[in-house]
Amino acid sequence: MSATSAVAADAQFDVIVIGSGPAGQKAAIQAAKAGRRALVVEERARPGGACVQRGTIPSKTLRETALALTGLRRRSGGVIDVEPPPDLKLASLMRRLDEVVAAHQRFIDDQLRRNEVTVWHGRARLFSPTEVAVRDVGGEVRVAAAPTVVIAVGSRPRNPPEVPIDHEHILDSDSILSIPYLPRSLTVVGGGVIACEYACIFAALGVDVTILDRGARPLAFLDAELTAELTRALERMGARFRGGVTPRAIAWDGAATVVTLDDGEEVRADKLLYCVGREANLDKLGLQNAGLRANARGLLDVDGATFETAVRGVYAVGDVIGPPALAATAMEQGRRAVCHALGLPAPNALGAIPVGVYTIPELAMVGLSEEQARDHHGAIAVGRARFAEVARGQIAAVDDGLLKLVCDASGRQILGVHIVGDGAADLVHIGQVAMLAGWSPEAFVDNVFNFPTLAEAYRIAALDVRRHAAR
Amino acid sequence: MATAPLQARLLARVDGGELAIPSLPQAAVEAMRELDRPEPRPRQLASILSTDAGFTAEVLRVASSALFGGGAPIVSLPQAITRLGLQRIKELAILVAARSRLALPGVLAQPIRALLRHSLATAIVANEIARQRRARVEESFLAGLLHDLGRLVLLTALRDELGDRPPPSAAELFALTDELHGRVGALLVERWGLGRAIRDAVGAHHAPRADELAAVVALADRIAHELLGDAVLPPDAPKVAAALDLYPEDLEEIVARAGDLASTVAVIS
Repeated sequence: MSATSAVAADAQFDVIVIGSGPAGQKAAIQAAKAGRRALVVEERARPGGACVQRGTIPSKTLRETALALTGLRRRSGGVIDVEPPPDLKLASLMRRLDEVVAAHQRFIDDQLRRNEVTVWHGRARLFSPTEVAVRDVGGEVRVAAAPTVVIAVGSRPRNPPEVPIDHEHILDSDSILSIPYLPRSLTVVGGGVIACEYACIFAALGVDVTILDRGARPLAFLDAELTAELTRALERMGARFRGGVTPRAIAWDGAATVVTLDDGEEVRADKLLYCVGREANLDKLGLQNAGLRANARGLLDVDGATFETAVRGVYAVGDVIGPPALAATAMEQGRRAVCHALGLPAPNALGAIPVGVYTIPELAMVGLSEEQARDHHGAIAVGRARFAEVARGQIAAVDDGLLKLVCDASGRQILGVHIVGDGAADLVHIGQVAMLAGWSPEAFVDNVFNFPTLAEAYRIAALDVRRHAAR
Repeated sequence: MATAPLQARLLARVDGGELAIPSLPQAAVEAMRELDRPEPRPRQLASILSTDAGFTAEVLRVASSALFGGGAPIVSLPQAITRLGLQRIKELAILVAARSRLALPGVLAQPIRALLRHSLATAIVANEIARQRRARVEESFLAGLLHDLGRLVLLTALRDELGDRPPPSAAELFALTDELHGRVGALLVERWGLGRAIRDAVGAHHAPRADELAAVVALADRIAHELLGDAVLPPDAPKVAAALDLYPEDLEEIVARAGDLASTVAVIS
């Protein structure tokens, strides 16, 4: 008797996807597009995962408001005074949020329905490598079976026992968005993507922000020139990054949040955002029933190309497998896992994956950093273009923008593209495509870009590469 | 006793804007004003509160109770402010104010005490629900605390309506407030200047629909009734919990964290 024969016929699928965040959605849609029966199990009433409900979409909505404020300040040349009032309610800034989230969820709902993906609302627990028990919010249990199971359950903010996160004074990246008022001051513990993004948003809104991190600089995985620009931008907004410090204790003393540093110094603020790492939502999934175990970091190990775990037919994608833990990458992982499971032609190996960080200003990169390029290639040629040199940059008063092309010593092969400034996350795709197509930077010199645009920076940087290349 | 005419008169008073909504005690009004400043001054706050001796004594008594973790008794307002923080002091001030302004003597004294205890229990549970969901924690306590105060305003109005006539039973009087108390509670919150989010949550706590904070209060209301033993968990509780994406095991955690509610709310004597 097969493991699935006891399961009702309408609960038998070709692919079961646990989780409906970016990775889960794309996995299910890929299966459905291949004509297979796909089930998505989602524990929340609406799909989308943390990305839609608590992460990317809500924080980016608030960021837009903050950007509008800083943009107006900058572009009006001080003509319009846009200092936010001290008792500004966060809720009023987030007014658009419900609409944006609802619209996005509707879009996901429609997409799943259009592709005839079945959605069960409930908490999933693995019974075996091919069976998943789904308990709905009322406690009713149904069992679904499929030869392929994709685990895409995402992650949540890490809350170590020694940090008294009460979601009122000491917050995590989920609860920070529901505080009713903008605090006067905010300490951000952590120097990663989420920490830096929130630090910038609140600083732009006029909050006195201090970032505390063990690392010497924020976002250590990015090119040092970019993060130096970010640190300067933070200072211009009245915030500060304090690197190389170790918080020994975090507490709320009744009047303020207090971080005691290793040297005994106390850093006080109205609110504290604790943003050091995330943990995968694997604890209630019954991994052992499927013969799986989380690794020492609490993540699932997978094959880097197929995303299959050590158990045949069980795949894991998105935040549960660790870095880069980006929505865009997670989507592609979901798609690739299902392609492998269904024996569909394997897509090309993942090429250059871009990274976008929605700080203010935006940061983006693809390929190798200058430092990595030197390690791998020895001599290199680097071309730079400051946005201030580009007409569009001057018009938009973007004086802190920089685009950097990292090339091999001959200046013919692009190894990496690094951008800081408005629109960086979009602009980087030009460089990404050039890298994937194997173009030399000369292509930017020989071709015509719209004028005035920030994309012109590619041309200026390419000319700068030419100056530095060993030819 | 036929209560329909009474109910009709209540509705007419609410619709006609003739319902007397009590104001906060002066000390509480000034304390709120101080707390709403960009930089509240704890010393100034203590001096405002200390102008009302009864109020101060009550704040200290409640601040020392199990509600705020017990421990060494709090003997001064500055100490209370340091120990509890400004937000808790604000909530406490509102609780004390509600009691002093809305408590009625006589036949209703006992049911009203029960109602205030239930309000406090709802506040505690709402706070835990919000914590579990990692959203709206700061507003949840106050929204829970105030959710049923519209009933007290209505009971005061009913007392006027009754005049010298023999009152209906306490149960009948409370039943008369069922339909209108959310709406009247929202008026009270508005009058007390406690913000739109709290007002909307109080107004909609019996039909939460899209308001997240109202749904938190609605669920807390049901759980608090059950935990204090004055009602079984209503059959719609799982539906309200489901709207908040809370599963049975989440509810168990919330109840466990809320602790021994009956003894905590005994602070309301």
